[in-house]
Amino acid sequence: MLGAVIPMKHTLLPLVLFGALLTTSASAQIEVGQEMSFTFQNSPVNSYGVQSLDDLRGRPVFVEFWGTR
Amino acid sequence: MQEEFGDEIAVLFVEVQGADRAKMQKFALEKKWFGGDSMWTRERPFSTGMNGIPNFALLDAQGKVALSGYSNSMHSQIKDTLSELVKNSEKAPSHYSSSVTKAWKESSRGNYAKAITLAEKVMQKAAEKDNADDVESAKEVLNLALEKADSKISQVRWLLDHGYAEKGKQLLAPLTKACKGVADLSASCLELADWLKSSSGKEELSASRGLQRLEGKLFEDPKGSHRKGLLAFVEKNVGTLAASRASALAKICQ
Repeated sequence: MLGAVIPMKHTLLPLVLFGALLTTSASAQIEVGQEMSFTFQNSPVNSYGVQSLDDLRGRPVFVEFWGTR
Repeated sequence: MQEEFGDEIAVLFVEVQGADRAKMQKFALEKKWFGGDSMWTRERPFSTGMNGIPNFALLDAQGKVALSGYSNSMHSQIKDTLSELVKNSEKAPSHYSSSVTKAWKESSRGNYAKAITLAEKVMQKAAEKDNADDVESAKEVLNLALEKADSKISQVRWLLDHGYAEKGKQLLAPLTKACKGVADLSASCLELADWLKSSSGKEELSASRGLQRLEGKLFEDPKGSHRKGLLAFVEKNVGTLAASRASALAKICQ
């Protein structure tokens, strides 16, 4: 079941790379087996007060990166 | 995914196309995600390294990455991995002795005080017998139970601070029971319960119950006309945290 994958716009690449440099600590790339930790500045919407990924421990977490466009 | 696994998993959507919070909320409202179990944010906790969206990462119950990739092309792999992770999340680490496992199980059931008491007993006995492995494992379980209880208490505090007094009250009752016998945790629960009994707390409770009713209608029928009702609620409950929340909801209903 293959779905469409939206490519990043090439024109935005320099900005994205610049942004990535600025936010390295908050958006480090992942490896299987790596323990993830992150504290949100604002609790995720509809989370009723979840403040970090650690708060979600105890059950598996599906994190999906998506867009509103 | 959430429909299939229910509350056995947590689902976090991360908006990465730069929508502002209001736009993201409006989008989620129209998709009828509000009131469900999924959460969403604009803050990227990490990057999967993928160049397109939607992409994903699956974390196990300990927060470790189990799988990542493009969501649309890996549906069955995601499902199989999640089933496995859910099964594993119910099992204590295999190197734990039976007495440490007993404490771990109490912690995973949310019986924090019981877990802490059991872990302390194991630590004491294991220390007497020079069993360093059990001391270490029991210490892990004790810390885990303390962290989880602290996290739940912080969550209730957040709810009370953000206009969800009724929801906070509902979580606080079982949490207080689960923490009974551990002085620091019980004191924190008592502090929150006392606030709920104060005049501000009572006012917030009443307001948050009223807002819950309005939210129910809004989340069920996001395209209906709810703005007027929300603004009337804001006026009636002016100064409350629930009114601030209603005001924010009214903005995305425009």
